[in-house]
Amino acid sequence: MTDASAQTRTDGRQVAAVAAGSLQARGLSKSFPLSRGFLGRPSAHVRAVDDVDLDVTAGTTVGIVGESGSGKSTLGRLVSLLERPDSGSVVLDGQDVTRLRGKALSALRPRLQVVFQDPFGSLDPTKSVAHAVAEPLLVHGRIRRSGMLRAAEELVSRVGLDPGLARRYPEQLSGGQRQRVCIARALALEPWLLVADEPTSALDLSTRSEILNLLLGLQEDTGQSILLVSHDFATVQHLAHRVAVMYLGRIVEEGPTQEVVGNPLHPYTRALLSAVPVPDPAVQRTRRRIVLHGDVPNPANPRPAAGSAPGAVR
Amino acid sequence: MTAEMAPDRVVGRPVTPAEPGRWVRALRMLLRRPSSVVALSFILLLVVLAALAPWVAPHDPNEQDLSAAFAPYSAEHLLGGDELGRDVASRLLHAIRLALLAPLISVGVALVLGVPSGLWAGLRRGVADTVLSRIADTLLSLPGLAFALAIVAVVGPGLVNVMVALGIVFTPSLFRVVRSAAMSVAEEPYIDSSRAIGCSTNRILWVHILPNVAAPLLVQATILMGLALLSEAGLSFLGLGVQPPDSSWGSMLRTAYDNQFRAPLAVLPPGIAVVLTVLAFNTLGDTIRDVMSARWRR
Amino acid sequence: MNPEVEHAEPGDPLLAVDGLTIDLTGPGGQPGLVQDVTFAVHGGESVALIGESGCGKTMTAMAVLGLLPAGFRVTGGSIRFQGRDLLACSEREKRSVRGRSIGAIFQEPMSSLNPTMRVGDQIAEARRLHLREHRKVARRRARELLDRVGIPNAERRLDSYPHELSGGMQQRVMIASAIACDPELVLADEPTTALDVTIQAEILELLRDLRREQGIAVLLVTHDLGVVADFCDRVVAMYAGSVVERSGVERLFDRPAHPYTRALLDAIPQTERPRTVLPVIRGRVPPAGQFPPGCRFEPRCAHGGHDRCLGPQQEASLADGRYTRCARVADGDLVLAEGGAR
Repeated sequence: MTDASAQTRTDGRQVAAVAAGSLQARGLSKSFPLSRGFLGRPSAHVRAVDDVDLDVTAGTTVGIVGESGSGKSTLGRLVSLLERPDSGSVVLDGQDVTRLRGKALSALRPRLQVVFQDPFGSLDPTKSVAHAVAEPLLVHGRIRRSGMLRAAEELVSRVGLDPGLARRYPEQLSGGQRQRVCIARALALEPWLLVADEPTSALDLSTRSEILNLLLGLQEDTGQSILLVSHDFATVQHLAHRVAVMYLGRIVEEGPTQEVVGNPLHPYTRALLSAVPVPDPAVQRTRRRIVLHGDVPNPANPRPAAGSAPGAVR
Repeated sequence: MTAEMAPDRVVGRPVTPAEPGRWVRALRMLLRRPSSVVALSFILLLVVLAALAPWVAPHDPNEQDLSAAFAPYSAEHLLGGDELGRDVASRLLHAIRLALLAPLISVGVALVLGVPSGLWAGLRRGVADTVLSRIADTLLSLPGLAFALAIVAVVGPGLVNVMVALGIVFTPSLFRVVRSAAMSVAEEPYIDSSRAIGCSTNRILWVHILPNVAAPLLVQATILMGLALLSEAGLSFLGLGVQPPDSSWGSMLRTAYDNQFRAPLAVLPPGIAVVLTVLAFNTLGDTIRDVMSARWRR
Repeated sequence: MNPEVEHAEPGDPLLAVDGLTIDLTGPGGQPGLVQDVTFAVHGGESVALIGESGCGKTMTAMAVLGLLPAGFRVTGGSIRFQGRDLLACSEREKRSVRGRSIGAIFQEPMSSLNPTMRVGDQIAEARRLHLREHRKVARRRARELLDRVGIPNAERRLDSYPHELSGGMQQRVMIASAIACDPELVLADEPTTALDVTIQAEILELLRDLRREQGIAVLLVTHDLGVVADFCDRVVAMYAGSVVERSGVERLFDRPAHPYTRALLDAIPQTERPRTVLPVIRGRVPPAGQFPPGCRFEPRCAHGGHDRCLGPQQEASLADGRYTRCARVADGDLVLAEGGAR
């Protein structure tokens, strides 16, 4: 880790080494223009992601947690090559894939797939479930158009849905069913890494557990690597082997999930964890919240010590 | 993992068979509204009459019979005769072809020019969008009919020239509709999703964006059909469109207008035909808009 | 009469909802979208109305405010506030209760605040409307309220527009306008769902202070069991338009009295057991209007299929002040597991 303020620890847990390969992100930074001047030149920037390092090893789930504006979603988009970083690199199995374009990028896409937060918006309403699920295979020439329905039925049953749903349209499905369809679409190409951006936050509690079970089962069956981006600590804690806590575009703490949760070192992690209410009144009533003092710095104009949280007081 | 992977049990609702696609459903909704049924049947009737004109028309449309000049409505000449004694009913029936073909040409030209550029500008934004939008704004700021007249003045009169000119005039409005719809569709997560699976830009444009902007596009195209018919009638009325001896509703209006003191009722048949047809297209456009905003946009 | 009044808490309740039934009327109408909902809120207490999307919790809250959307009508039961039947009131009388005696906070502060109106004016509006206060007096009071809800630089913020504030600050402004007329009850519909957890904790802290210092009762509509555990005294759990269980918050988490609540608690990931398969509720919520005639949860229930599940379910009182709509639990025929999770 080059980020001095981040706390790194070694992984104490054994990981079943089913699959091989690794992904390393080094020094990723990304700014977005806040406003533009007269000729359309950006006149102010917000640093969404600021010099972030991240490693994902085969068969593990890495969780990225943070609040809105922490840059966690942008980091997910950078790693899945949906967004190009201003600086830094994404290295997949030793190959720098950051600046691939055109055909080379298309050829790499199957290895990095994404499940988006909003299962209502991430399926094309004009396409049937079969089309949504089998389209990746069609685009990469792995099946013919005539084989779509059959391929789709197989994929759809892999995520625990009735194959009969393949002929339906997204608007005829429930939220949980749609999210399963999105997962099936992302898995069609058998990616090395699945980036799941808030996969459960639009879902009800009982549906959430179904999707968590599905992701867990997939990983245990196939050694799928997962990058789980979420604001929901419970979800990350349940699935992730390692967790990285983001604050204002930087990773402030990273380590094995149990250790980060059990003994948070960074003041921001402590404050964040203490703010998550425990669904057990007897426990919750004995907890004390750690409050951060000082205003939240504006990411557009970070102070010199950007990335380090304001001081914590118990 | 097996128990949890079991397919959802659908509760309180029979497992429905595959449902029809959205177009079929939209058509069904359209057929449930009296106004669109009337408009659609009228247009369908016109299409049938246009195809069967040679057989259903009582006379040859160009056959002159001076004894029937300015003939009143009668059993022989249902809608009377014109100044050369040609049968108005037959001319009206034969002119349906032009009344439908002319708008198809201009709307077709507008679609070919406006849809790809609109989709491209909506998805890509940036410089391409700025340039195309400025061109569209410039065209929109010119008075449409005058601009069409200018084109005709350069390439010469004639129906096809006029309709292509009109198509160019219609392009900016179609471009704007497609561009703004494509722009909002491009923001949808499913476009990101199709990029993530590796779809090419072309595939995203035509397979994912176009069907999702089809609704406003269809509405605009339908309304432009009516407008094109009206413009064609106007230009033919001015003698710039269809050339004699062919007739369109516009040129028929012209001759009726020239002879309005000898046969005042002669303006009615072509006039009413134009009004009803334009009304039918506009009504259809409006109801499509209603149906789609009610059903398609969640 | 609301049985909860007699057993659970002495004294007249502030809000008593009794047998509330809401239908969707008109063509394609659906009866019983909300069916036989009974609960009470006493002065100063905090009651949670929980359930998953589509269970009718927001509909119930809207009925209490008299703000049901067009087409929805209360067709049975009563809503009494301070002894007055709100359903029998004229629209004018309802308005005098809404905003004055019952304040409301909604999920999306940005869309609940008028974007073209200054923050101070929005807060002062309620006081000018209900208490006929002079503009200047109301403005001074608005400044105090902004102070009260913890907005720094209150004087300056009075003249801000909502978009100039962060989400947490907007929600504080909403709370300020909800408590502007010193209401007895604040109805909060998912007040923290759109906010980050640290902001959520602050907003809940603020609501807690208001309860303690001003004795304001809170009816909190939420799907977040963590928030319920943190903030509420009693819980009303809804499923598919009907109340399945009413209970004190500790008892609900410790000894749920309905298979649905039990299943919800089981679905919570446990800190001590990461990466284990979570129990799920099979099937999904039936679409509105297609509820089964007997127990509405029966088709998905792990203990369903019993004769007792098929008839109409009545709410039954258990010992220690719990109410369940499960006939088998009421009979003592079914004993649900205890504890936060299995």
